[in-house]
Amino acid sequence: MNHMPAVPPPIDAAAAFRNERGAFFRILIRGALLQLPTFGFYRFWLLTEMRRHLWSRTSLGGVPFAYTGQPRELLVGFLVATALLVPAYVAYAIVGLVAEAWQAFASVPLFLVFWFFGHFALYRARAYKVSRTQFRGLRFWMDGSGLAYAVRAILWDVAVVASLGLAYPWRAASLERYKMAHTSFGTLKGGFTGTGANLFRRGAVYWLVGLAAVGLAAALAFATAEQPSAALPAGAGVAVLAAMVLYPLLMGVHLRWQVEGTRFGALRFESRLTAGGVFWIYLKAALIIQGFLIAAGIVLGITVAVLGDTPKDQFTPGLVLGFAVIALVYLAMLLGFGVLKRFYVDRGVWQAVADTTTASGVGVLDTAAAAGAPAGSVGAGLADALDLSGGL
Amino acid sequence: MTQAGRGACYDGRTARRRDVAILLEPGGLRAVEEGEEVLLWPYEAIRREETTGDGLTIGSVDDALARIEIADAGLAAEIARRCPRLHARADADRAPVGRILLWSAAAAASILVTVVYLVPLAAGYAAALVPPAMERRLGDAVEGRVRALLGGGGTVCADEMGLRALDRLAEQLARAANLPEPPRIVVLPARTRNAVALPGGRIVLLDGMLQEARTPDEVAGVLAHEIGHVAHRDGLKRMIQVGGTGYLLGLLFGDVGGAGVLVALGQTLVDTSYSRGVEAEADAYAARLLAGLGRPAIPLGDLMARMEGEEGGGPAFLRTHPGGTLRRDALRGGPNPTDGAPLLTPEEWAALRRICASTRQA
Repeated sequence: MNHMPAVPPPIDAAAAFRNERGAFFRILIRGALLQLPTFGFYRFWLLTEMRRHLWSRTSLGGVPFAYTGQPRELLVGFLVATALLVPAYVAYAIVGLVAEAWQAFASVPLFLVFWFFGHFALYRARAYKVSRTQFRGLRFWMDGSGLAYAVRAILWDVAVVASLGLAYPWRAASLERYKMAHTSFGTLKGGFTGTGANLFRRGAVYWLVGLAAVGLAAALAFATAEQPSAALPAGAGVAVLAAMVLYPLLMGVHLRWQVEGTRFGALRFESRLTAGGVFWIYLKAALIIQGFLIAAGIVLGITVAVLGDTPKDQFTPGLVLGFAVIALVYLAMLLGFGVLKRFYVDRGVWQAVADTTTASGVGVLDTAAAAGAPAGSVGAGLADALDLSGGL
Repeated sequence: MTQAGRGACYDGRTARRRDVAILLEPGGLRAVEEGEEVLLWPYEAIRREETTGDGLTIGSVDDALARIEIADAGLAAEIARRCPRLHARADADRAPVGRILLWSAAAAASILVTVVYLVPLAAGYAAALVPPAMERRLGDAVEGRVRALLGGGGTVCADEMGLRALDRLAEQLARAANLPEPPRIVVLPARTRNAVALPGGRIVLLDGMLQEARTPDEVAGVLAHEIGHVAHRDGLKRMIQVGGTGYLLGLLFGDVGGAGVLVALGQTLVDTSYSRGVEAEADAYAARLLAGLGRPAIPLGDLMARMEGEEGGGPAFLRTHPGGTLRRDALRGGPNPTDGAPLLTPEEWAALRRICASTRQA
């Protein structure tokens, strides 16, 4: 257990985020619109623009960070990863067919292979991102082994499932320790001092509420077992509501624990982030997205109602127009959700973390000298090819 | 030497902030700390960095990490005047939208041409290379999943009288078809009106189709049509086609290997119809097969047209059984003899319709 000093060390730098909502919103809208005609290939440019924006508007002690990654690297990484996945994909199909002949759905465990790939890819994608983060004239960088990390992560995943989630804090601590122990700022080595026990203590109350919700959902299902049609929605409703409320709260707890455990030599961080603060970000986003979807749904409903009166035997101009409106509203819903989520949730949480973080021991940064090299982008491409690159 | 002002410099070698004098010389911008030269950047190499502050932050194309922050607006303006390519990085960082659009369209067009023309062509040749034993194994591999998707709760219809009637019908069709191996037909107790031919000669008929049919000739037509798919190895071709198409589209949309191949395969065998051409060939096969038994193929067309009619209106692309009327009209052009003996007696027909009265686990 780490020993907390009674008096916290003096704060000598604050992190800050300079909020430029309009500029970020323009990046998102442009990206969403260009995703369509480029069949999603614009995602590499969009992600890079988002990172460039967020990094450059985040500062520590008044000095901004910078993101030096290039979209082209992500594109090449994706193409290489795609080529590397060909044999895996073919082998997967063949083994799947053989297993399926033996028993229907026997091929499902093959997902384990891609699960392993996924952890490996996420580690390498982090290395790519970290090594393109520049601060005070030096770059952050990572060493360590993606394979070793993937083995570690899979073992912890098994433990978390086996313990009904109880092992999650220790999983988070172990994986964060590995990642930070292999992260450096120039010659200054990183580290992580957060412990599973500490995270567990902070999140225990939410975990208990979650268990109670699961219990309540199960009880509801059993109580109304005579009417299975009513049991399922009631139980599922309780479970979904609990997950929606608990997820942001736990995320707030987790992020604060993560910030406070991060070290670079004598440099350490304090966080004033509250679970409630993160919860409000999510609640606001949920309400805005809900409002947007309802508005789109109303437009859709009116179109369908009008369309219902027109004959459908041949293509009349009205029918074509109606289908065009439906297609447009559908696309707006699809794209709008992504834009609003990134704008209110991703940017909101990023800003909340930055604005509540202070640092002490910043002087140690003066001792850091240049070291390390940028990591390749194949891992990031692999994560993208496996549909894992949702976050920043 | 002209001292122009001061700046904060991170030299890219350490993270220490160095308060430097900025000298704007003919050869370039020189940063000097207490008489020691820290950096010398030619003006053409200097780029503005995107940053939050009010001042100007500059870097050099020759040095990925070093930065100089200049707070003094006058000095910043003077640097901007001397550096011809100050904003080149911002320009280079802007996404080349036109080129991305062009190449995305080219990639999409290439993949679509491959999917629409080359994959079906390749599937035809590839299917010819697959030995029958392997085709049967492929069919067995997807059968469980197709059954699960079609419904019936994992059971097959097993009423004894019904099975006997089905056997008699199947035997007559198989003899006329003269395939290397007789097709194996199962009926599932599902109410959907559908029949599916799997690779390797397995035909799955749903009870919904049996109930929709009004005469033995209609059921015989459906089975003869599915035997046509078996004879043409259409199921195998489609599996190869769907696998290849799924992979290529995954490539296009960035989801390679993410989607379960088998899910897609099983789903597609159930959901989608073959192309009009493939269906027409199976219909023509069915007409020849039935003519060999002295039975008409028009009832198959009647059944298809009836199912189309019951679905009501709507554009053809929204219906699951399109073209029923067209198919009936095409079948009317065939020989359609009626001189053969009925394929089933009235008692056998009644028994076949009740084949799902009892079921057993598959």
